[in-house]
Amino acid sequence: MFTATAPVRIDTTGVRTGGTLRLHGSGDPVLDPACLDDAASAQLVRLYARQLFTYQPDPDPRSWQAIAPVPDLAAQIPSIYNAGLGASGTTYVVHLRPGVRWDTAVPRTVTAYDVIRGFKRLANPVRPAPTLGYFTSTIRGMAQFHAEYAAAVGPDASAAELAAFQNSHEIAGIFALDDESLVFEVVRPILDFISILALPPVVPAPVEYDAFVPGSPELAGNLRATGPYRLTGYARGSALTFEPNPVWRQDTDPVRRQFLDRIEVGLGGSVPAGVDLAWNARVPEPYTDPPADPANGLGWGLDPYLVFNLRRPGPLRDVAVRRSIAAAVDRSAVAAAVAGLRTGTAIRVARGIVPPDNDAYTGREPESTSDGRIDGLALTAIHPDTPEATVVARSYAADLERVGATVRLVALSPPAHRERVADPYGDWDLTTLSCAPAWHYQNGRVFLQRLFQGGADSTGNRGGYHEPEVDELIERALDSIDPRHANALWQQVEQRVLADVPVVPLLFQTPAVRNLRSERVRDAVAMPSLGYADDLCTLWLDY
Amino acid sequence: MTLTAIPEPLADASWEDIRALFMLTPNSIHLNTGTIGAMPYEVLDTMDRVTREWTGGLMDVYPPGMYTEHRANIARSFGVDQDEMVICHNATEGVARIINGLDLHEGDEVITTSHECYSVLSNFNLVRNRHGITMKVLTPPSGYDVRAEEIVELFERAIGPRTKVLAFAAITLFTGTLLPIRALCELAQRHGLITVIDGALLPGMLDCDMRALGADFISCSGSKFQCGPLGTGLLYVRNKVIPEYNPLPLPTLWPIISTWYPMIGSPPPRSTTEMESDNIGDYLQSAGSASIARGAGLAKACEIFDRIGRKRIERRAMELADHGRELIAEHFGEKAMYSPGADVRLRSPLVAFHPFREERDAWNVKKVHEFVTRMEHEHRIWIRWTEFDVPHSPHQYYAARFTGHLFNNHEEMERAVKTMVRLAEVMS
Repeated sequence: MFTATAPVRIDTTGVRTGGTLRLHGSGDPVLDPACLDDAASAQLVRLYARQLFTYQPDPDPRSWQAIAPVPDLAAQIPSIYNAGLGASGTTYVVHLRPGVRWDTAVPRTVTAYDVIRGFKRLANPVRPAPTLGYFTSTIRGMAQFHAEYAAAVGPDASAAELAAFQNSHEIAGIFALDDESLVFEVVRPILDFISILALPPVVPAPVEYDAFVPGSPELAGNLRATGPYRLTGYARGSALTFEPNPVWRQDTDPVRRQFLDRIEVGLGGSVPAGVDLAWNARVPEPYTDPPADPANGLGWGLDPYLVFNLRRPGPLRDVAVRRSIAAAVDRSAVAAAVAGLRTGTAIRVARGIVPPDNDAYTGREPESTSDGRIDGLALTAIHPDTPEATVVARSYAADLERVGATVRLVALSPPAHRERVADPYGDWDLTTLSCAPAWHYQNGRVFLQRLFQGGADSTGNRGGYHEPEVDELIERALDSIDPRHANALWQQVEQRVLADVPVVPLLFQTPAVRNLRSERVRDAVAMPSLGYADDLCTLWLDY
Repeated sequence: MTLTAIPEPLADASWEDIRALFMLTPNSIHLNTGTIGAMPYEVLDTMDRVTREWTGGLMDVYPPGMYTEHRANIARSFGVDQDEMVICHNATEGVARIINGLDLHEGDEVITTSHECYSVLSNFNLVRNRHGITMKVLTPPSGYDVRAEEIVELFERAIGPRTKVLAFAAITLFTGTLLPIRALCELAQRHGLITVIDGALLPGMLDCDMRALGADFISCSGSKFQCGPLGTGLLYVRNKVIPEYNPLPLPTLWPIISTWYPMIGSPPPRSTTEMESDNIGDYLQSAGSASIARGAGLAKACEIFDRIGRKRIERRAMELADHGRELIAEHFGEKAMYSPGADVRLRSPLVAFHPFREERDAWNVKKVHEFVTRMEHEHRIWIRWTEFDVPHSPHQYYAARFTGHLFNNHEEMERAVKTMVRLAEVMS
């Protein structure tokens, strides 16, 4: 299945270049950066799409450098000291690193206008970025841009219609000073703006992308690279191939390297011999005792949580029914089922929404007052066909059937599952999702805003929960730049949401055992920003 | 190079002779005293002499580090007493020691402005993080037509039941607005508030009776308008209650960074009369070994300014800046001015303006930065760029700023404005 390439070559520092890195996993990745919502896809996109800011691999996860954004396409982190941040904290000036080029037919420099195009694409109404709410609640004029965009072209727009809107409308709070510099204006002083700009979807888009609908298969066949590799082959459901991008220059990229001749990702089927790394699955080194808390201070994930589809009319709109379901689910049984898969994570039964070691963590939830019976309730529960999602679905479905419900489990491939839950009219009542901290410092908003803020641009709120009182609390928390005050407000948000039971937190998990790698893989670093997947841009092969 | 013949008395010396006292770079125009002044040769000589006197010797270095005599002389120049005056390293250090030394607690509110120096905003933020105070940051109006009453009303409207401190710059570094200091201090007194003034630009610019201003604390630079050595500053700490100027009790101040704060027990209760109960200045001044030479240099700079006459210097700097202001208004229009002009009470020797035709270029840091850089590199004229908020605007504004001081002259001001007009035309 994998391709043979020239043997690796050693340099004077002992680092070897060359060889084919082989990964294997299931499901198809999201290849359009603007539509990214999962760490496994982000791991691949990082190979070819450089960001304004990103993270550098640090072998010690306890190091602050593992979670501190660093300049990527940007020349430096904007601050008061480099005149990149105004005293009021609402204006950021970003200068682009010179010499970064697209791998277009005639290589072309990445410009500030490409960055702006990338932001406009995030707000497209066909496949808006799942993290759009962070941007619309932060950047001046972006919510209005998104609303007008959606009103003007609708969710079934063609590429030409999308391009026509984007090229004739601006986001008021993002403007270029010239080809190399741009300004961001935010609606309030915030402490996490650089973390938001370091999210994987924040990448420039070349003008060539105007010819394609975001997230479309056509775009996947016409990606342009700024990173050290580029996609050279993609057979849906079968394999992807990446090869070095000849236009990329090391002297313009402080974060990535280009050690490999080729990267192949096998999709689906049985795991062939010769795999170096798993992709889109946690495969740890062998271990015996249950993994303990790694105590690295990094935020755990809410993984998984049960989501009610509140967009559909029906009994789930009744909070009493949701409370009964929440009370019926045996979270300890879910924990045992997941632990049995031996994915190398430390596991805790979730109490509350915000997991440990994240801002605003309390570990508290209101006492349940339900009698637990839901006789006659018929539910459609969808889940990805991954081993973990499957055992979780079976576990909670058995619990619900014990209290009188009928649960129809529907297993979908991960991409199909993503599509179904993103569809406002999707046919499902229940599903499980997971949410990892998108950043690890001053991250009060990463669970509570993303999952529970209402409105058209709250694309991470998959169940459609909308409570104005919660939205108002979220706005107040976002308005606070005093971390203590903000955390107290986020905790209020959490308690208020839990009382409404739009979700049932099931488990908190964090990786606690190293990823399994083949013997020839060297300098592989698991990155918190990639859900602890290895950084493919810096590892090398020993033979 | 040193100056050997100083024309005396300086009070009667011509401005041309006085200009010769200063170490100015030849063939250049220094219009950036708002950032750093030019030292008199005599100051350099003093620093050199004192450094040599104290280098390698066996004398006790601690008593002169208290600068007792220098503080007394400098205090006199500003209408206050030795126990109220401290020589420190710069305005930032002074204001940091005050802000962190205030007896503030969770929920106490500080009112300040977005036009403050970073050192003020960052230190209050530090106290916010440490003690849980709250900050109300006002954006003052800017522009040629701003009036003093607008500014006082802005502060007055912001005062609430938890307000404890008003903190503001005497002269804002971004737009060069001379705030109505006495009026704001009276406002604070009416509400029982502590006043912390960033007076970085104050000494050497204004002939100023610090006590009469009615503030509790004024932190100053020694190296800007005062033209002392780099790394010098002055700190005024009100240490007696003189009802005519400020009838409020002395605020509690914890003199952080102090060798001579008692090692057990407390200093005497603070005075409630016109007689000090203790020398708060000594507590603040005592901070281990000190740069005796720099203190002497600052004292010499102050002495030279006293000899020239501080009122005379103030008039000169104002008059030069007014000349530049008029030329700017003539060429660029009053609408281009960010510094006040119509209300003479708000004028200072700093003039900030927008040099380009397009309004949106006011948000373009690169263009304004390039303008200032080209003035320096192509024309050897030193000005600077500033950044500030404008009420109700989402944009960060950037301005070109020039400064007049006693060593400048009308010809320089005219040449500088003429050059700026030409360059702005090219860049617009």
